[in-house]
Amino acid sequence: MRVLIAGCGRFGSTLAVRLAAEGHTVTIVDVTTDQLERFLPSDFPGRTILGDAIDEDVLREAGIETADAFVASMYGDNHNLMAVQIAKIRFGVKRVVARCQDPVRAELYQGLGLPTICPSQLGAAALYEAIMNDSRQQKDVAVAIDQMLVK
Amino acid sequence: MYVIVAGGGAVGYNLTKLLLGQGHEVVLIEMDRARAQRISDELGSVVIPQKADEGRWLIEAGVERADVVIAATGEDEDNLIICQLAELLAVRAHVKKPRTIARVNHPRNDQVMRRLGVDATVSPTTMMLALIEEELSAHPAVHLMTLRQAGIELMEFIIPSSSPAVGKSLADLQLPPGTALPLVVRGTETIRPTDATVFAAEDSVIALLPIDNEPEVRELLMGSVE
Repeated sequence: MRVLIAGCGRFGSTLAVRLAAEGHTVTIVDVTTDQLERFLPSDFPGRTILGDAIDEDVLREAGIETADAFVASMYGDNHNLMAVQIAKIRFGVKRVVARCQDPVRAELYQGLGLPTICPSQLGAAALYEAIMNDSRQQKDVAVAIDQMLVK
Repeated sequence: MYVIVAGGGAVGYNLTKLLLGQGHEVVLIEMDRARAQRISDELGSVVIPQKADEGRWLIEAGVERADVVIAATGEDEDNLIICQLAELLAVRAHVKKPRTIARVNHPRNDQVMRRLGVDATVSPTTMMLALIEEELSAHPAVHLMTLRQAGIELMEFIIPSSSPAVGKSLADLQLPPGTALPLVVRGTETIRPTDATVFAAEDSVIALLPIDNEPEVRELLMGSVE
């Protein structure tokens, strides 16, 4: 698959490295070289493009016209929501997804048919699971010890 | 009218003041607390010191009964999302959608924002560039008015002596279709041009033309830019 990723932070770079390792053709765009150098390994096999992913010229240079998927994981929610709309409506990219920290905005745009991923909610859910599962496990251990002692 | 203004910078603040002065009901959303405080000290309790791109503050501001939402922050992507959120929230509440107007800071975003559903865009950068361009030019072409919906603009061209139009009649000029020259001002005389009207240097020509035709009409009336 040809995947275009906007935003080379921890999220974008992690995704880029993984997709590239699986053999996908990856292009990653960021406004600064700092980010590209900081978060990508030196042997990153994909293409890197310097520029703002809400700029149609930058998107074209990054190959949006032939991309199968577009992921927006830049710093601001609004930047991401704008970029995926350009990718989907202007360039007709089939699969798009925007990172959106604000659950309200994430839900509203999801309802509009624009897929969003909300890391703050996913993170909170994971933390919740970790706490609740752990307390259940601890309770299980306590019960097991009680039973042993009774015996 | 009930108006929500997002962003209390130079544009948003002055707009709020203007609208209040005209008797409209206005709420301003400004995220910088100190700035929000200064504005409400001056204009009264019309300021919500929060971020307008978070849906809940638009709801708090009464987006569901707003006639107009004006996004006037310094960031284009924020202005786009504020306008879209205002519409989405109105749809969700089953009320009439407010009219949305966005300030566009970077001219390249102008088209995109209208394509993505913003009702009207205002680009101070484009306006400033046009004004400066007019100041720079010895024989200016002045944009008098733009009717964006119709894709038409009203312009004034002052014909330089080097123009290929000098000595030609309106029929000779062969203007592109859709272009009309309703008025020529020559000194103190006003002329309603006919096909036989011959142009002279220093004529001020008022033109009504499709926006896309501007370069062609400019060249016909002013000559090519050296």
